[in-house]
Amino acid sequence: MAIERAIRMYQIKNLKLGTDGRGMYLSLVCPAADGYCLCFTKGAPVTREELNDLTEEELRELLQGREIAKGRYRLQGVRANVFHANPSFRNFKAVAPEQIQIWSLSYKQLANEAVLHFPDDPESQLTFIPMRYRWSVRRDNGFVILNVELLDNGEYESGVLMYRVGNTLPIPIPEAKIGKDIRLRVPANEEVRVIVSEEYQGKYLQA
Amino acid sequence: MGYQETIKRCESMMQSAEDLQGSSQQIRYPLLSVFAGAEAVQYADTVKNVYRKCWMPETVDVIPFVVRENLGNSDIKDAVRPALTHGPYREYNVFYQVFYWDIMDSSFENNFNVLQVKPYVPVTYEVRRIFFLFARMSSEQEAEIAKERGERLIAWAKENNEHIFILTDSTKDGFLGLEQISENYRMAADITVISDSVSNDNKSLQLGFDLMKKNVYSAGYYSQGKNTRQIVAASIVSMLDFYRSAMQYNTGEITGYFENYLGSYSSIFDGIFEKLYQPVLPKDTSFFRFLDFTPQMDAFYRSFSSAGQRRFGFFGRTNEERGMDLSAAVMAKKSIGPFWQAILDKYYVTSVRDVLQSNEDGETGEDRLRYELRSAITSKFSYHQLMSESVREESLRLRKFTIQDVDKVLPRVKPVSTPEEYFAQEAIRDIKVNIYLKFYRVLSEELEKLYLNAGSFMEKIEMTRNYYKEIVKDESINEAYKNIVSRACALKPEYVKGMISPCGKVEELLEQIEKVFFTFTKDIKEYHYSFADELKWRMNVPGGGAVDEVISAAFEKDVSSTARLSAYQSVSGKMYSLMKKSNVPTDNINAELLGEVFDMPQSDQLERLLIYSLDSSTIIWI
Repeated sequence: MAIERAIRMYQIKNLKLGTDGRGMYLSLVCPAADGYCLCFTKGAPVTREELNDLTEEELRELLQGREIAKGRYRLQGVRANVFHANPSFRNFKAVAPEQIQIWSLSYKQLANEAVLHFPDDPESQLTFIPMRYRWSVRRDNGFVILNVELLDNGEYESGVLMYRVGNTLPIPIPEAKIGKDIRLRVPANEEVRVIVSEEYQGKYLQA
Repeated sequence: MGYQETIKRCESMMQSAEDLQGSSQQIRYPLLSVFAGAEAVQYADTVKNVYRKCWMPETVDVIPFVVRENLGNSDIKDAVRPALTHGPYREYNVFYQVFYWDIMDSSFENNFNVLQVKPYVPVTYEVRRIFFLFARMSSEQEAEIAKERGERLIAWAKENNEHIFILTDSTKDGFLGLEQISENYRMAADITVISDSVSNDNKSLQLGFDLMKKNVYSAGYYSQGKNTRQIVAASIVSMLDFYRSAMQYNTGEITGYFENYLGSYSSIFDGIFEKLYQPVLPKDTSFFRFLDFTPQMDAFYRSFSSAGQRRFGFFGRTNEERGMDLSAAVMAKKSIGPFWQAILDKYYVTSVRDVLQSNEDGETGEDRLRYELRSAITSKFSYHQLMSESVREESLRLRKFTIQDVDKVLPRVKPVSTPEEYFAQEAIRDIKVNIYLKFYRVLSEELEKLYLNAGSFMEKIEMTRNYYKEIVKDESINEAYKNIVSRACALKPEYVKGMISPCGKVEELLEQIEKVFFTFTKDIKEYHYSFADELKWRMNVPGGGAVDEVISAAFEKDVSSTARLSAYQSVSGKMYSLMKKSNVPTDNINAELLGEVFDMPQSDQLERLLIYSLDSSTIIWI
């Protein structure tokens, strides 16, 4: 199994995750890659050490376009000519709020060896599929009615979104209360707002 | 960990706060220190400690050391660049390369080959190489090896204009004992720091420069200081004596309910919880006012306001006196279940788990919990009692505890004035139910260990005590430290009773002893007295000597009799005194005996050093 440091020719530039009427798409520039490895995960980005259990065979299969599930991450290989067949690549499935790390792959023909080129900083060559949310409050008979909705299909983890009244500690919102009214006794002069917990900043976006 | 290491670690705990705060010396030129040969490698820390004392620990942490029994070809070459990289030095036109070399072992030929090669150094530096050669001469065979290698090295030094110090274990006063061998490394380190220092008022001694004038040197050494080794040993003996006598009064059989002896598990657990975990839990719990206001919450709130009306309307009772509608509280909490779980996870479970998984200087949060629980037991039970079958039975009983059992024994939330207060207390209770199950498990394991180790514990205590007792030779030290230790233990028996507990290995006992000694040094000021102050203090204790007399005696000592290499010539050279100038009155001391004074930031010791050059033809080897 060969994982090498991504030198300039194998570094991915201009990585963009966009959405249009046809759904999500990826575009990027990499001068020398024979293929790409898309790594889908939640939480902290996958480190080089975490890839140590990939076998040589699996790396070759990624170059053929195979998908592999490994513990907390899953990989999707794409050949470069397939990825760049259109101006943008759409043939991937991701569930918000996942992140995608993209690494270039190369093939050494004489040695029949596939190489994954890993960047020095695992946080580079990374993009998020954000979960969009919106929230509203209305006053009703002396109560504040708070409603928080998710706009994308995805997996919500309890406590990622929190509501905060004035300067008190934020209260984590459980999954069961997403999309449902939350009735609060809040003095008229206190403000209610919804915030994203620290570790999910950037992965949840207010619509 | 062994007895000796424990003494060393405890000695370092006694360093005076004043000495730790500041240094009067700074390192002047770049320095590379190389340790070669088995014995030199073993004493590398002794040398580093002298450097640390003189130049501040942070400085020493960034200067390079090569510590290898068998030097590799590129070891020194590779260390040159880090040594000359911008560092804590005052000036950069001289480069000291100092070699601490045990010439007695089988690595000699290899190390000699490596050390003869001078690494590349830019011409802008004046390189000063000093070789400290450590030799032993106490047996005929060793003396022959020392002679053969010493003569080879003298010839080499003369031919190549190298500068060597020969330091053997033979003096006019007799051979150095094993414990004194470290003095040779200490004096070598002293010579290095004198050569490569500049004081804060920009003064430096010329020793380094002077040493470049001749090729062969040796030195004599005498030190007078706080006998930290005996002080530590005497304190440990007294600490163990206190433990033994405290245990003698507590030999009764454990009868009846085990927990009764300890007060109650709940109160012990609550004490530990408050100390270790409460600080990381939310202090401002006003957010509980803004929970999802379900119909059940509404009913719970109403029960409070109606109680309030009753209070003022009919009964005239205060909030504290009236009971809370517990069933309404339970229903309310149940109705906000998902919120409740999310709040517990975020602010309570995670915080407590982080403390348990934390690691501070190698001690994990779980180690800390074990220590607290073990202390709670050993402060109440003697090792005699811990041998009892009831201890094992209790351990087995606790092992079977389930979360339901914990919930049952943990007291319910007390009546409160507001629903918010109820929720805040209920959250604490919920996290306690979770973590106290772990407390019971750990307690069960610790009881089992104490039971298994109690039988052979006195043997370990005796063995350790006897070892340290042998070290204490000075009766005045014995008396003085016995007094302060027993006084401290009488005031605070938990010093010893809680911190020393039956364990399986002597190493574990030594670890406990170090902890107790550390608390002594934190709480008892006498441990940090300077050399002179300690003498003054001890003088009042029967058996102590007068300060001035002791200091005068230190300067009257003929240092030439401690010369580390004998010769058919009178040993004469230059004297140096290393001490904290402000701490030692030197007005009445003969200038010749005092020599040049190097202001060493050490208030617990004064050292005298005689450096002399030798005519190699006069050396007495065997």
